[in-house]
Amino acid sequence: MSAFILRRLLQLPLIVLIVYTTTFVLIWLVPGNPLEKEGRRPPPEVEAAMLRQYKLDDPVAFYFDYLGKVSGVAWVVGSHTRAFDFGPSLGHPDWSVNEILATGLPVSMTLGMGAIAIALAIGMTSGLVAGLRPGSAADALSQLVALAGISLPGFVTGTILLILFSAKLHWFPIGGWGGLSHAILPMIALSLPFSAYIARLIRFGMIEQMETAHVRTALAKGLSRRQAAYRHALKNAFLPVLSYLGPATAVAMTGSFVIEKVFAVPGLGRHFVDGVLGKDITLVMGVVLTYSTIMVLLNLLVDVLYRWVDPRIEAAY
Amino acid sequence: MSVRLTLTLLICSAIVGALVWTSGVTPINDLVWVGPDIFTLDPQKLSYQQDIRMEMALDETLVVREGVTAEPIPGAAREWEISADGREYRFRLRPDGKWSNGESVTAEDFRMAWMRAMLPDTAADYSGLFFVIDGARDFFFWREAQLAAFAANGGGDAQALWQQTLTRFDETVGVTAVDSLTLLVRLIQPTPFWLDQCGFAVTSPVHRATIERFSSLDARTGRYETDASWTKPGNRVSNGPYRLAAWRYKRDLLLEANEFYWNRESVQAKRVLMLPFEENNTAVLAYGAGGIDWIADVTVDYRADMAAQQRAGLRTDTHVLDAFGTDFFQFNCRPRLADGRVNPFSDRHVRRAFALAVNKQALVTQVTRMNESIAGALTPPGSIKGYTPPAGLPYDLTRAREELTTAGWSDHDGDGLVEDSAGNRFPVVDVLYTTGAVRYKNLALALREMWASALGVEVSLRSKDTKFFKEDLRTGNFMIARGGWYGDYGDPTTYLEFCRSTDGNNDRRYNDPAFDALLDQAAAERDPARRFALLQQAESKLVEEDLPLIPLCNFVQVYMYEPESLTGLTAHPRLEQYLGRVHRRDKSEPRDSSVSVTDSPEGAHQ
Repeated sequence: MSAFILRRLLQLPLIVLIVYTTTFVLIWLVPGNPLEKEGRRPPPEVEAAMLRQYKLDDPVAFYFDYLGKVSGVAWVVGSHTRAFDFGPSLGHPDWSVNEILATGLPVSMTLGMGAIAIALAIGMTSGLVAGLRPGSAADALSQLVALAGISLPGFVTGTILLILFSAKLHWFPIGGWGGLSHAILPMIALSLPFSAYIARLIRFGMIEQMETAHVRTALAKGLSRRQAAYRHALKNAFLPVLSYLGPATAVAMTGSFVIEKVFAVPGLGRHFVDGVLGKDITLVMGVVLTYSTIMVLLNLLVDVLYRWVDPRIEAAY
Repeated sequence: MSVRLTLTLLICSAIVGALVWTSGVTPINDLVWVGPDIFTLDPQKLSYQQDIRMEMALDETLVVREGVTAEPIPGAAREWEISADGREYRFRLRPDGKWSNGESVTAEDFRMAWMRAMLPDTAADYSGLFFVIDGARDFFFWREAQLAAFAANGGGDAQALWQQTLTRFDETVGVTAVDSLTLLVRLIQPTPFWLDQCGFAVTSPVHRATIERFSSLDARTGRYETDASWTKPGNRVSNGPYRLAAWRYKRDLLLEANEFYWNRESVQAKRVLMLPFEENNTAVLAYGAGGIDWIADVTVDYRADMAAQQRAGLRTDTHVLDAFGTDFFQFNCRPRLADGRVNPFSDRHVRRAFALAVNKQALVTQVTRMNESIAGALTPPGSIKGYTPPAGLPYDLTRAREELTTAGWSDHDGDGLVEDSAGNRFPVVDVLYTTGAVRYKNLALALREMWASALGVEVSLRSKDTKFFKEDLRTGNFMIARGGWYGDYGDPTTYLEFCRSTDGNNDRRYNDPAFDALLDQAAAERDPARRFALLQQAESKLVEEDLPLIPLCNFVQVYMYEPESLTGLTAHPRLEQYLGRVHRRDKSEPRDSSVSVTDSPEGAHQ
């Protein structure tokens, strides 16, 4: 197991380097100048001086110089005073990308993990109810809700929740971040597609598992349907959910920009979208590299958990 | 089962921990408003309206352009003298001017700030604004060349170069601190709007000691670099109505009254909180739920309906204000198109025909539905004292067809489409607009209809994302494109200079030596009335003869606030709100405060 973890950790820098290069090329290919503001340009000579100031006149020099600063190599060899320095944001020159990451990441992670927790609770419950009584009214209802949860985009469900529970009922504050009351609605809105997916996975898993030989044996030996379901069927039905949880958590933590926008939550997803639209190269690189590192680590965590839960995988290796 | 339990426990504890970590305090504020996100609080790097507004709350410029007329009145400078040749300005600072740390504001602080704006090291958008100062332009390019040489040599003595730079600034640039309270400015030529520019936020002073504390010389590039943390709460020192109490990235910004400000008595709201809600719909919902006094820019798709309700008397909180900007569509004036074809719009008769065929009134009432004031010229009428912009071209279909015929395009074969004498059809008109802006999509659709039916041409629409759109503008890959321009200062040249043939923002490549000559003549003219007459002549040429662009209407900004409970906002088109004046209304206070939006003489169209 430890050799497996070590091998995966050694792959991490390589993966991140590939992501760095790809992102860099893509963002550089976007036309326009990150320092250009809406509507007007400074005099051409001033613009050229600004580009030189930020080394934006030379992509190759920028690539290596920035790679050195970001990876910490420049710090190790002593040519830069800080390790893992993403530099100032090009669009928001008062903030370093590190500062932005440090304030935005905890918000996005909280939002994402909260959403996954809610998704697990809702998804498992409705999946079990539906899976144990396939074809029943409860199953149909749960299927319908799941379909809606998957199909409706976040800005629709988010806006509906906001209008209903905040604007009309005044149960929750509108917009901002600063406590549980601010967090609940965006977490629920963000959890919906995930709960729907989990519900469907569990439902399908339970239907399948209840027909397997070992569950039928358990039933034959006198266990109640409920006992057989919880003790034997659910364990196996949960496995696909577990493998889904890794990428899902990553997506929830990183892909919540729509929800963050609707609820005015100052998370990273929003900053990322703004960065892309404004060609804020340093901010985009910072967010992408952070996200890809999280993604790799979460996938690793799930793989480790999976081996622990299902010994067959370790044996197959 | 234990897996699930462990996972759930882990996640729950992480959420609780993170919530405790990220939660903040909820203080009581005197004014809470929603505005666009702040980009920078470094006065010399400003560019956006919201940054300018925030800067004017933090710092005070030499003069202040306050009230309905926006006439310059004393600010950080108590008085000033202008020399007989109009080139020398002697500002005397007020002796009681103080920074938020209690230190006195000196002429050196202004000099430091203006030097920053003239250093390529700062990468300031508005460096060009200072180039009217004697020696400023040469200083900028001298420093830029020195830095380039420094970097090419692979480094050197950055300190020596910096000393050389300071000496050169002393010797060649027309900004002198005569004594601690006297600032002498020498311009390259008389510039009537210079005093107005001394009220522009970019000319704000900086606390010299703070800048020096946060600055260092980069050994490799030789550049003078100021660590961005100088603009953060605790570091940022300001000389205006407020000091920066808190600022969290894209979350909130808190101002507190500056107890050392000389005019502190005038500051009404002592604690001002700004929330940068990005999704405007959320801001409008939050306003409805209470707790927000003012939304500075309502951009929701349904704002036209809100404005209609306001006009019908169904609501009282939606205010449509004229802004200091003009919306237009622009022609590519290059002789050839990007693909090498001959450009029909290089002929001004064709451009005039297209301009005459636009029913602007219909556009503002039926398409944008905001009832903006329609524009014949670029300069918004009434926005610059003493200047009357030309009327521009009317909506006249007969004249439009005549112009097109004069240009050699008419319907010879009776198929409803115009051809040249050789029978070649008018090229399909390529109209470019930006994706994502419903306004421009609707305008482009309406214009296509107007042009196709009135002129007998085929029109195709093309939308591109902003970055790609700008690239097309730059390379001339369009026939007609959406445009728009906001003025910077109180003079018509702020609207005319960007049409000069050599200007970096002349995407149209409109090139008429006569127009440039008129601008030059006006620049040399000392008599204000004659100067305005020359500028009016130039603008007439632009919007009545040559038409590199079709002015459509004034830009508007929609404010949301309740006039019964909030006062102190000005309706002057520049919409540079002085936050120190804005406050919740005391019920005993009369409603006819001179700077209130709803009651101002210029009036907002309700």
